[in-house]
Amino acid sequence: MPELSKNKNQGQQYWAANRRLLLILLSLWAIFALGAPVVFVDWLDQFSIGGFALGFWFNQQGSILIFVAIIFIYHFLMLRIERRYDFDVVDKGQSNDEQNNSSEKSQ
Amino acid sequence: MDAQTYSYLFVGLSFALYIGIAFWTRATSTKQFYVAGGGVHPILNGMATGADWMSAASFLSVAGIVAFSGRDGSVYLIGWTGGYVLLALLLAPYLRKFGRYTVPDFIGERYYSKAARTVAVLCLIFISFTYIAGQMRGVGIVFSRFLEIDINAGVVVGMVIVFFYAVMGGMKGITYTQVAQYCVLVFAFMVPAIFLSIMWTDNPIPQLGLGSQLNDGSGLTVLQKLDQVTVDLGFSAYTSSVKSKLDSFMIILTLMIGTAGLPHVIVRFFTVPKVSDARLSAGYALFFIAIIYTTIPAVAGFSRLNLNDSVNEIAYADAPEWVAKWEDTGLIAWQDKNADGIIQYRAGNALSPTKPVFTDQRGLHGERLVSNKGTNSPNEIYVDRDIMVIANPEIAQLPNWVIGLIAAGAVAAALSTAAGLLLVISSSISHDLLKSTFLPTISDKQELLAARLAAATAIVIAGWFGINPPAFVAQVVAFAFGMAAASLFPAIVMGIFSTRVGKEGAIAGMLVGLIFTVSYIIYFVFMYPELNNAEHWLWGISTTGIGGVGAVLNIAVTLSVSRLFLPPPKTVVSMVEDIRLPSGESQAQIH
Repeated sequence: MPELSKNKNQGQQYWAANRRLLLILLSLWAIFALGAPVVFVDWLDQFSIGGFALGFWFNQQGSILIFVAIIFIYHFLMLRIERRYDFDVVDKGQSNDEQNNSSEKSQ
Repeated sequence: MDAQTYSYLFVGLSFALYIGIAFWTRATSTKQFYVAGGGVHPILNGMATGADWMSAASFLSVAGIVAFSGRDGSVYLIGWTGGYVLLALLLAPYLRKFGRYTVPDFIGERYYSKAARTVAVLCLIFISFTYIAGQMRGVGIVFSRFLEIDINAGVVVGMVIVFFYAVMGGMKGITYTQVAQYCVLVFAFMVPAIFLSIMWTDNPIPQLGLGSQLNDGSGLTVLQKLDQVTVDLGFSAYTSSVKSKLDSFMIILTLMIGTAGLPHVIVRFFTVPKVSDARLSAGYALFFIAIIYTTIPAVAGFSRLNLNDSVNEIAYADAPEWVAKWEDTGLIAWQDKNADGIIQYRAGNALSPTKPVFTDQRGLHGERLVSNKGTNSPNEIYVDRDIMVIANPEIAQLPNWVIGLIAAGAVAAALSTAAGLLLVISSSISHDLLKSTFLPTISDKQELLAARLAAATAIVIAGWFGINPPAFVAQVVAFAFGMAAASLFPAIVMGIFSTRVGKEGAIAGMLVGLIFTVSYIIYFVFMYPELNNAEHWLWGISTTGIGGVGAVLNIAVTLSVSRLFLPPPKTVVSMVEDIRLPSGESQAQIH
C-alpha cells in the first residue's frame, strides 16, 4: 500500500471506485435477473446444460446461483477497495481510535 | 411409530429448543432488543435471515406453484432471490453504517422530517401485518393437519411460543431461534427432496436429478416426461411459458425490489458487527436461501409426476390412502363427472367455483360430495397446490419420520417469519412513534418495556388474524411486496445515493408510489375482481407486478419534486457522506 494521507479526496475516490463496481455488478444482476430468464429466454433455450434447456435452467436454478456469486464477488472486491483507500476496519468498528481517524474525514 | 407420533415428537423437541434459547438470550437493553447488541456473526446472521425470509408460503406453497405452472412459476424463484443482490449492494452496508435500529429511523433522519418517518411507520405496519396473518394461519394449518389439534388451538400454541422468545429476547432471542429454525427447515425440506430425486432418477442431488434421465428405463429425461405428461392431459407443456413477457418482467422486478424493501429483512443487517459484515452476511443469507430455492423446482417436478402417477385413471376405490385423507381436510375433491368410478386428471378447473364446497353426503364410491357445479372440463379432481410439499412424503411413500420432519419444518418456517415481523412492528412503535416522535423523554428502560408491550399486543392481533383470517390473505401478498417496492425501497436507495433529494421530494414520491400501487391492487382485487385479467390490466401487468411501476413513479416524482425545493441541510448531507464510508462510527449514533 502506498503511503496516502487521509483526506476528503480519499473518501471521494473510495466512493467513485464503489460506484464503478456497483454499475458493473448491477448490470450483471439485471442481465441474469431479467435478461436471461425473461428477455432472452427463448434464444437461450437452443443451448442446453446438464439436461436442461439453457433458458429453462436460468429460470429455475442458474440465475439464483449467479446472484449468490455476485454478492460474494462484490464483498471481496470491496474489501480490496477498502484496503486500497485505507477504510478497512480491523476490529468491531467500536473503538474511539477509528472514530478519530476515519469518521470525520469526509467533512 | 406412526406419522402423528413423529410429528408430536419433532415439533415438541423443536419447541423445547426455542424456549431454551429464549431463556438463554434474554435482552437487557433496547440495543439488544432491537438489534441483538449489534454483535451477530455474519454466518449466523445469514442463517437467521434465511429463516426470517422463508415463510410458511416459501416452505409450503412455492413448490406447489411451480409444480402446477411449470416454467411460469419461475418468476417467484427469481424474484424472491434476486432482491438480495439489491440488499447487499445498495442497502445493507449503508444502513449498518447508519447504525440505528429501524427502517423508519433512517427515513426520518435522512429526510429530516417526522412526517416522512410516520409515512414509513405506516407502510411498515401495514406490510408486516399483511404478512403475519398468513404466518399464523400457516401454523394453525400445520397443527390441525399433523397433530390433529383444532386449528384455533394451533394458532394459540404458536402465539405462546413466539411470545416467549420474541417478548423476552427481542432481536437477540429471535436471532438465535431463527438460526435453529433455519437448521430445522433446511433439513426438513432437503430430506424428502433427496428421497424423491433418488426415487425417480437414482441421483441423490435434487438439482441435478431434475435434469437427469428417469430410472424407469424409458430413456426419457425427467423434463421430457413432465412435458409429455402435461401435454397428454391437455395442459401447456411443463417447460413452456404462457405468461406475457412484460408481465413476467414486472413481477420479477416487483418481487426483487419488494424483497429488498421488506423491513423485517432489512433490519437483520443492523445486527452484524461491522459494515463489511453486512455485505458478507447478505451473501450467506442468499446462499442459505438458494439451497432451498434451487431445490424447489426439483420437488415441484417430481411431485407433479407423482401426483399424475398416483391419481390419474385410477379407480377412486383403489386410490392411495392419502387421497381420502386430504379429501377429509378439504384440500382434494373429486367429482365423478362421467360416472365411471375412475379419477380423470386433466387440464382445466374441475369445479365451479374453483374451490370445493362440500355437502355432508358421501357418493357412490365413498367420496365427499360437493355442491359445486362441474365445469365443461373433463378434469374431475381438485388438488390444492399447497399440499404438494406437505403431502409429498405420503404421495412418495416415504417413511413416517419424514412426515414428522416436514411438520416441524413448516412450523419453524412460519414461526421464524412471524417473530421477525413482530419485532419490526414493536420496534417501530416503541422506537419511532414513542421515543422519536411523541414521547422523546422516556428512558431506555421505559422504551424497552414499551417495546415488549408492543410486541405482546402485536402477537395478540396477529393471533386474532390467524383465527379469523381475512378471506383475502392469499391475495394480499401482492400488497406487501407492491407496497415495499413502491414506497420504502426507492426512498432508502435515493437517500443513500443522492445528496440532492430532500424531504418534499421523498414524501411526495413515497405517497405517489404507494397510492398508485394500492389503488391498482384494490381496484382489481377487491372492487372489480371480474375485470382482473390481462385484457383490462394496464399494459397487461398483473397486480403482482404493478409495484415495479409504482417504484418507477416514486423515483420520477421524488427526483422532479426535489428540484423545486431547497437541497437538504448541511448536517444531512454530511450524514449521507459519512454513511457511504465503511469505517468509523456513524454520526447518527452520536447525537
